[in-house]
Amino acid sequence: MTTDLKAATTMNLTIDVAKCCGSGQCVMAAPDVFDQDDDGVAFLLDQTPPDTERANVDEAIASCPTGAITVVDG
Amino acid sequence: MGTGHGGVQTGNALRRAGWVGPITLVGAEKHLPYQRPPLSKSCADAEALDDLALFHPAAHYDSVGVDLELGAQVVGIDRDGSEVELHSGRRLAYDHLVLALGSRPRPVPVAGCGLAGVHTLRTLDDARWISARLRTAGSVVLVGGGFIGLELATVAARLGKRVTVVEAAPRLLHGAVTPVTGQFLTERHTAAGVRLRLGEAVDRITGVDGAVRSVLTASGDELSADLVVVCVGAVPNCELARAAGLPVDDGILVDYDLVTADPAISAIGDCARFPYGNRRVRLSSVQNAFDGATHVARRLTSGAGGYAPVPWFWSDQAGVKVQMAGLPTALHGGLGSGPEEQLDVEGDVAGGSFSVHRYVDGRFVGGESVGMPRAHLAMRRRLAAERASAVPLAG
Repeated sequence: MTTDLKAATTMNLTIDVAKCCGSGQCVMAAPDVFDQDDDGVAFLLDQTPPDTERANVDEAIASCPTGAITVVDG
Repeated sequence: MGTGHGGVQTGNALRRAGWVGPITLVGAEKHLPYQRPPLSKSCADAEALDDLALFHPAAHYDSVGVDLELGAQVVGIDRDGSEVELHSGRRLAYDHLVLALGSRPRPVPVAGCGLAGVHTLRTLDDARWISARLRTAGSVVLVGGGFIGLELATVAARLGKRVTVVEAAPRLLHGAVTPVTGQFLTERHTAAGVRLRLGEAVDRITGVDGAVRSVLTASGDELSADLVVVCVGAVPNCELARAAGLPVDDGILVDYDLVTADPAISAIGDCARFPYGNRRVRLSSVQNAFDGATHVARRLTSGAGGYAPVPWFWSDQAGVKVQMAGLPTALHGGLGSGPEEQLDVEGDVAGGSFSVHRYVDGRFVGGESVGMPRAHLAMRRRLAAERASAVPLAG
């Protein structure tokens, strides 16, 4: 995992749905990347979002209370 | 001090905010820091529970630079010397101390609580014990119809156990959710085979040869039980703060920035009582521990002030996820001690897809939803907007 804002790499996101508590923090931080099903469980609208979403995705990861989101730069 | 949501998030948020000094997380338990919500929601499978509850693998703490002192019982806080004293006699120096001490199950003055097969749920070890016991138990009695009791009842009913919840209040989650949602959950639990004994107190717990046999209710019923879990709320862990001379009143008293009477000590999460509007509240929730930790980290690194959280909470039970926003009625001056709440119900309650908005004197104060996560987020945004426009009173 890296948080180098200048790196022109692709973010590859995964959500651990078993850990997701449905808080919606990720949806509030990055609404173009995350959404929730009717039970509140988060899913990805964009698994490899563009670099313009990096700050929002960082916020989503930092504000997820259960640590359910992982990003791998590739 | 404390390795629950508050402690772990303090370390993570401090590093994220650029804190360069050493950070030590001190916890009495030997386990790597873990999350508590899964303990009641997912204790059917002990092995899955360990993975689900774990915050981070050990390598995470090395990589972000947080030292773990696990299995380390703190016996005293020396404010003059700015040191924490451990049971081993070792002392840890601090520039700033964050008390994230949590709470513990409220003891009940009922005979028989010491029998084998009677337990409370707070720690991972408790959950493992209950999980093992659930495998062989036939009849399960939950004393207390709050969130933990009802989540455990859900797990036990799904495992095919004979499950009874004994609740002293006249309805489930009294003061925690509106009567609309309380009634909805009552029907869902009943449909799932859970027997609910509402408005019923426990007289005592009986046993044979030291092992639990039954729960006797105040009205004289005998409920047979192989496993009894007592879940009647929690009390904050304030003893170390009190012994250190810090003001305590059902929670360690803190100001609007979560600072105790000692500027070098903050308190967050379950153990802290903080100003919220014109009252002081103590909130036991992931949200409050997490947001309080984030606030303290920001304050220590950039000085930004004022903890003004939007409370939210969730519970998985009776086959649904209930999401709540705002202070619960019991903390909001409701239940006869304040103005009546007006409720606005939208959606299909019977179908399990609805939201309830709560108003006091026409002002939105929060609500809950089932099967409508967007309504829940809308409630939180609305509460955040109202809080932002309100002028905080002096703490």
